[in-house]
Amino acid sequence: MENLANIQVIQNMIYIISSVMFILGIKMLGKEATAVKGNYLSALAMFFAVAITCLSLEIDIKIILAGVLLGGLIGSLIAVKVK
Amino acid sequence: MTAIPEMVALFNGFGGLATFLIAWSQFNEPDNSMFQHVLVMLTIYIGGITFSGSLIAYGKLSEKLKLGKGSMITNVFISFFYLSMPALIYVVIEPSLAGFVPQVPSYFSLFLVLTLMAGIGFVMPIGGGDMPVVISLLNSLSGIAAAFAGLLLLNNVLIVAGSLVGASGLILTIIMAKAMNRTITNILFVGYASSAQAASSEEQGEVKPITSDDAYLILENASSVLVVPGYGMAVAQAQHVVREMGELLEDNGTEVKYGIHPVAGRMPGHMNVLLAEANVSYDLLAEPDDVNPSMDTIDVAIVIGANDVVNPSATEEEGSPIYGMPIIEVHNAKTVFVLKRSMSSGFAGVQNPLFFRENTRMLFGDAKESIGQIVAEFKD
Repeated sequence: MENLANIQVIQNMIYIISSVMFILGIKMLGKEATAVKGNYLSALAMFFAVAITCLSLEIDIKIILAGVLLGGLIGSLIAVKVK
Repeated sequence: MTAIPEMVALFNGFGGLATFLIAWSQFNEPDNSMFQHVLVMLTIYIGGITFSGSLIAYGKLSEKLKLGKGSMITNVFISFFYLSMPALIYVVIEPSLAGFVPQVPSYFSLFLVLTLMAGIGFVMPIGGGDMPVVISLLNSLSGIAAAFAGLLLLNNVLIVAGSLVGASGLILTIIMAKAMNRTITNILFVGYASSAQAASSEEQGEVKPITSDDAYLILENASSVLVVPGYGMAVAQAQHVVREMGELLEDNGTEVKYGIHPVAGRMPGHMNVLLAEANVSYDLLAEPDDVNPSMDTIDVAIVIGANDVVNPSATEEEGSPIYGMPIIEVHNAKTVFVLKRSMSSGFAGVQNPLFFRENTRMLFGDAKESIGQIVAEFKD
């Protein structure tokens, strides 16, 4: 039980860090010179947020991984194919 | 790079679908409070409209879907959109109605279908140059739906991220609407086509074609050049040769600037993305307000595949469908080159009197080849 409470605290701390990174990322998107970096920063923040959420879920990790693989495959296929 | 707007539309749609499905699964949870019930319905409504609306936007942008304003099918879907609003109110207050009015059996499934139809009716009548604004609005809606889903799942970071996307998308939508000098309601519910009949007084005249040899001679003697790109540059993939030409002109002592209209292209920032891909320095990009006051000092304005954003009838011809939209006033430059494949009108379907002006020269053909020839002449 104590273990679970710990995860909650860590999760919320990572959420706060991600949120700050989102805001910084969007701020950077406003200037052309930093736009690409800002996009990566926001993506990284989203990765952290999703990762910590997955860790604290009580769903079989295999199902999550399957979903990530399928979604990632479709997304990258579209992004690579786009003219 | 021409299909990126479609891809963005599709990705927004997937975001909407995800929230739609989350809310649907939450509806089947046993002990929902009133707050959760209202939230589920709002999320389904916004998510569903974002999903089906984005699919329609995708179809319109990729020109697979030709239905526009005024067709019978469009009108049917528009009625679904208007019908969906009282339906939303009904499903929200439905639990408190129990006992007062007879219940509609399986009202929830009906509501699911109706929201999807409503999204189609929401985007279907919008077309032409308004598409970038719609994409930006759908992006904002997908963010708002995600924030609601975050409230449902009690997930803090989803609330934060969703609100950020929702707010920034909304700000962008307002900026773009302002750049076209129209309100968002006017774009969504009135549209371009309604005033198009007034524009019958089309200016006609001789167009003056020019070859790239002559264009090179004029450019070589120019001291300041303004490049105004549009969707046509994206189609021709001309951004790299454009950058090359810009560098050669600068070596030749010419001042080169790029005039970027906020709604040029078919998504927000389309031209900025293209020029960034070709490594054009950011300092050279200028907005309409920066270049318009000094336009008469510019020797050559090169319009590459842009049409509506340089159409002088927006400032001069009252009754034109795009009247009042701020434009890049290239017609005030000493010479205007217009690179175009044919004489067809722009995405908004409005004829452009710029092509018939005294100081305009038309350089017909593929923009990449035309500029490539000019670059080759410079190198000789």
